[in-house]
Amino acid sequence: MNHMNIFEKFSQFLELKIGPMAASFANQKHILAVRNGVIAAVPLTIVGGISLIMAFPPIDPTRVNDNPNIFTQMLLVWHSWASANMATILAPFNMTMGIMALFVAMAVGYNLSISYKMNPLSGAMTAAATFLLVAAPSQSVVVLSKINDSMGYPLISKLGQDALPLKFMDAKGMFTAILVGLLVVEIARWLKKKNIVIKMPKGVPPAVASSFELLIPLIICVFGFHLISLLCESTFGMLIPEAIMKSLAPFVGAVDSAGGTFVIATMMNLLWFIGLHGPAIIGGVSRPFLDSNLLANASDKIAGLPLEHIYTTPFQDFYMQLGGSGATLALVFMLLWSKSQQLKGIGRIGLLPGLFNINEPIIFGLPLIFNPILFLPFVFVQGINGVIAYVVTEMGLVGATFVTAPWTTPAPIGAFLSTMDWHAAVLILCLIVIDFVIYYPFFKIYEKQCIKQEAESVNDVNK
Amino acid sequence: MKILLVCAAGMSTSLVAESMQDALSEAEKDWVISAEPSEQFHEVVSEYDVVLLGPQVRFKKDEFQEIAGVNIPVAVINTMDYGRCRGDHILQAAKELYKNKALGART
Repeated sequence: MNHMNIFEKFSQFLELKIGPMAASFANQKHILAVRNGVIAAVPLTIVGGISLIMAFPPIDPTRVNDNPNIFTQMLLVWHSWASANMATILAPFNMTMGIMALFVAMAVGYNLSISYKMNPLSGAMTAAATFLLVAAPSQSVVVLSKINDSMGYPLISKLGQDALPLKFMDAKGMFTAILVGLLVVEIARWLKKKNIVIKMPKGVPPAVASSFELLIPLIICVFGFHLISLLCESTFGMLIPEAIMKSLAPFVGAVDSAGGTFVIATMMNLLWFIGLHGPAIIGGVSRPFLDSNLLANASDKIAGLPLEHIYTTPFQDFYMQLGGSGATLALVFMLLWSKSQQLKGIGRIGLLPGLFNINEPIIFGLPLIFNPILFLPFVFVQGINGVIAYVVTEMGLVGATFVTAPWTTPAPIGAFLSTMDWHAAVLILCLIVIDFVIYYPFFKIYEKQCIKQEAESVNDVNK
Repeated sequence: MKILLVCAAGMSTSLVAESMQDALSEAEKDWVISAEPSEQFHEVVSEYDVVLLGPQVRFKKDEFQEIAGVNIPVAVINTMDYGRCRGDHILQAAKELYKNKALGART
């Protein structure tokens, strides 16, 4: 029994058994709606991130020595400006990332409606209204700055105004938003299927008719969820989002661990090995966890608390998918310096995209798919990066992520911006060196084979 | 002809789109070749004549063909051509796809 035989069997198993399973998983309507919904909200996290970057300059004034240089002085000025204007600087954050769950509810409702060929705007509006009702029921509040000691209760109560509490509209409302987005569309679909709709007589303009179509699902969702929410509050003494977060806590903990980074990375890259887009497939489930971890960290940062989570979307984008899936940036440098003309050519095509974390030219061109020699590093290096970066962050050597930088930002810059800690950029450079060391022996074997093939094909031509 | 390329985020197919543009002849310079992420597909597909998928999202083919309807053929790009950004090969594949569709319509 030889070694290649087992490997070929394994490849076949992946392609014929896991491949179709992954494909049907990725095409599952709800998974797809969640993935596309969460991704649709990404620009909002980037806008919120700009606020965060302005608010938290990469400096700790308590650790500055007595004679700061000009660069440190500039950072100190930035720091004191930011501290003095915190509320103003963070206003855009509050209305984007701070209420992210609202947008996710809308986007999930929108996308699921599209896949059922239902009116997407109706789906989005029903989801938004229902989500606000269960996660942010309005309360009467008084603005602190408007009251003082001398005011009595009657005077203060006159200043009361209605407000939506933001508490469960960030990470803490994320899973509720997803659930509401999916449920309201399913309810609307069920009503439509059972033909429970308001029918307008002929001659009523279609726009008017379709606005009535929205009415019954909206009534049932809003009042139905209102009832459930009130029941939840009176039985458990908490709102639905809090109950959901409590019950999901074990899963959140399992994903946000060194082992979690390794397992998710390995699953994604096994899919990539058979040429399927791993993150697009696994992301339907893992992405809500990673995004909600990031939002929670952003809220902690603003509240001045220690950051609770490590494994977030930017953590995966920059430390793990360093140069693209499989952490291939180090490999690109080897290709560039290769003695094989073919490999060198692929390195040239792959370098620029690779710096921006895009590596399909390497995955399909080298190729890495179905390549038995490079299988081990391609599938496992990304997970190894995850474990190393996780442990290093846990030890406090590098700050945790709390800002979203676009995933196509070159990794050292992206890691710096996501943490506002320059140690993160150093960690990226260390990871490139480690990845280089792991890929190198496998690359050498593959290179030898390519050079041999090139020599043979030259001989064939000369014959 | 208008060619739509689709992958997960529309990033890597934009590299391919560029190399296909370079492979167009003088007479074909007005052709449209664009790259879109898969979640945009349903919104833009009707504006194109043929659709080519990146091999990494080949599992979307049946779903996309259904959305595109019978008049817009959907096919998956050859992995090696995709990886090595061989725009000329992929352009050829798009032309054949279009030609076969025209033949199919006549018979």
